[in-house]
Amino acid sequence: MQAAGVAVDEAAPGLWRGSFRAMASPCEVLIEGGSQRVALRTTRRVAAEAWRVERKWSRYREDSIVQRINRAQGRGVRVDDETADMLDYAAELWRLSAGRFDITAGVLRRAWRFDGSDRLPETRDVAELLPTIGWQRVDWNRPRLCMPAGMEIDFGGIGKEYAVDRALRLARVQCDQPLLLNFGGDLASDGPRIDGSAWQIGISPVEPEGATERIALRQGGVATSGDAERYLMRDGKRYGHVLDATTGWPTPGAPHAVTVAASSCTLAGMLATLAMLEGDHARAFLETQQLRFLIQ
Amino acid sequence: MQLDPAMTRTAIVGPLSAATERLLGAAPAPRRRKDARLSAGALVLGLPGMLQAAQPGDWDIDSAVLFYSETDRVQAIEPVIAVRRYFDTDRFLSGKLVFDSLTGASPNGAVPSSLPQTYTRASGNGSYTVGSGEIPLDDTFRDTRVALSSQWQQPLGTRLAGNLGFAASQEYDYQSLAIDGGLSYDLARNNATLSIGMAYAADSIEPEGGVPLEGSCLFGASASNGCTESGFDETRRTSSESKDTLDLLLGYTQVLSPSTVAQLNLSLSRSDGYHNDPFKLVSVIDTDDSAGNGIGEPERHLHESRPQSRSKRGIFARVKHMLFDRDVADASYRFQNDDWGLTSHTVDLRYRWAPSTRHAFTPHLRWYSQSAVDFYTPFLRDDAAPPTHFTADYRQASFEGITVGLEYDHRTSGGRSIRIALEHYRQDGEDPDNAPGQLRGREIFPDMDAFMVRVNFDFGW
Repeated sequence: MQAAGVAVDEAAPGLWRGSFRAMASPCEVLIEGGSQRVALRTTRRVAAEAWRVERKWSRYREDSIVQRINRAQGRGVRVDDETADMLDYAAELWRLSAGRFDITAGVLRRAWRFDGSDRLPETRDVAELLPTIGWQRVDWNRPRLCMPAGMEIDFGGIGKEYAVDRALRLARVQCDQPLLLNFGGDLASDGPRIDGSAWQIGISPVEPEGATERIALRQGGVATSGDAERYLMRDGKRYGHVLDATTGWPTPGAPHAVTVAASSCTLAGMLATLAMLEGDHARAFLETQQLRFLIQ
Repeated sequence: MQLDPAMTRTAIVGPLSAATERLLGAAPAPRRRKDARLSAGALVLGLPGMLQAAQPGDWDIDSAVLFYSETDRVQAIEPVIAVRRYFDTDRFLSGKLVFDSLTGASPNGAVPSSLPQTYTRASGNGSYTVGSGEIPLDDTFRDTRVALSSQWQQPLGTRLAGNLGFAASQEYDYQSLAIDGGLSYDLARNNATLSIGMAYAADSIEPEGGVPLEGSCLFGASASNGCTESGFDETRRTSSESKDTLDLLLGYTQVLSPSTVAQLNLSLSRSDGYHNDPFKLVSVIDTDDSAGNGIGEPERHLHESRPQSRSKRGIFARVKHMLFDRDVADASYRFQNDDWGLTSHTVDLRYRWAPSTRHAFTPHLRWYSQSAVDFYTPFLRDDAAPPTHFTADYRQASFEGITVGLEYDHRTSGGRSIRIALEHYRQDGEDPDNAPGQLRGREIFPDMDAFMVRVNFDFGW
């Protein structure tokens, strides 16, 4: 069964799998029980929300609020309520990470190209970008944001996880069956399977010879930061794509990937990112937080 | 905001969870939601502490039923349906349809008598009788009103927004047409919004039986009571009357902090034309028992006489403050006075307590006080000629009113909102201390208790 960019098939007896693409990732909706028609309707609702969030904060759409902010040239921009909630959240993350997580750090992509090669950026190129990074330079006074010309914001680090949590709630209105959402490795569910058992989530190994680990999820979210493709390698040293906004470089000793389970996908994703920013201390950091996690 | 390097080494899962719940927990509604966050825009639009995060194509429908009951007097039932269509986040067209159904009785302005009294209905058709010692109530009060209004709002550039509106209402004997327009300008650096607005209304009244001649006797009294009119038509001067009103508004809204917003409005209003209430009377009382019924008894009742114009000016100040990221305290004060001599003060206090995202309770207290217009008189005396202007309408008298209410707001998991409000209003005025004869010690000013129940059901798709 298929409809406007969305397909539903039976992954296993009594388990419907809806699929579509959003946010540069394959996305899945697993629905246990119920009819295929309900599964299709639910998948459509989930996809609509994923596409809405993607479109709303797209850096590539001229009319998106993110583009309006990035093109404001120092003028204030009044933002809608949902964007304001997101900015409040980003501000809190910036504070909690001591400035290392920063939604204005996206400009670093001009210096960094994570293509698996050994082409590290010049120290000077990164240093030149630092003056255009820093949430402390942004005047955020809800509902108005005023940012110096040349700076940019980007919700890329939060948007996908947020979309998973939002879409899960909307999907719940469409169906009563157990549900699991998976947007390119960021997952969420609001309850166990029909028989009361947890969803078993396989985490693919980063290294080809690694073993597939499992995380059981009954309710909440699982998210992973870091992945197999997006890194640079030089002199035996690996440079992951999670960059410290205060230095413009990855934190030394950062793991290849961190997977965290938490009460929501957004929370899991942010904790995984903050752990990556801890570098060598990622494990100690996660242990302090008393979370279920997996470090690769 | 302060950076806190120590945070990263300690447990941040707590504060981060709380922040995440604020982000997600505040957003249970599909496509659209309202929350208690503040914004300059929300106040300018008059939305009480709410902001719409609407998507293009969204419909927002709010329906309500209001039950209003004054003890022994007017009862009203008022269904309302309001629709708003979003074209994008900032542009919308809204419409509202109100039905009003009023029944019951309202004080006609005359004083009580120790004898039963008979009043000719304003239409000239039939009469109603009031028992001895009772405040005369006109039970003709029965009306249905239909009101329709529409508003278009859209941005004009990045900082300027404009709105244009139209309103019409129709009752049995009264109709009103109004247009309004406004501009609001965002002073981006200061987190402030400056707004100007203008409204013009044209009202017309066509009471059944015609418009009473000011100062003429209520039909039915005889020449011995000092009335010279010999027929009903002599108490009438025309079949219909009209009134024009122009309102100007200047507003300034300042966001003081992410959780506090203040608003200041100045308003001017000028109306010209017919200001009388054709149903209101003023009693002329006997001061020397010349009519033979006793001192203080009403001799005759005159149709009231008000000036042909009225100018009002007002100041309105309001502060809204969000507490604990959850509750909203809302305080406002309004001062108004006019060239009729009426000065009023209104203090309105509300506290929205939201123990969860699903439930909110809003206690409400309002205190209102006004002085009487210069030409208000509870009665006229037969030993002096009537002045040019006089009214005994209790709404033009000096009184105080207190409203106490509670609203409960429940939000369903689907993002719909159901609100139930209960209010009690108590109005107290003063009886004149110089009332002669039988009027001494009687209740002349009609004190009033009213109860109001409002049920709102709000849904969007």
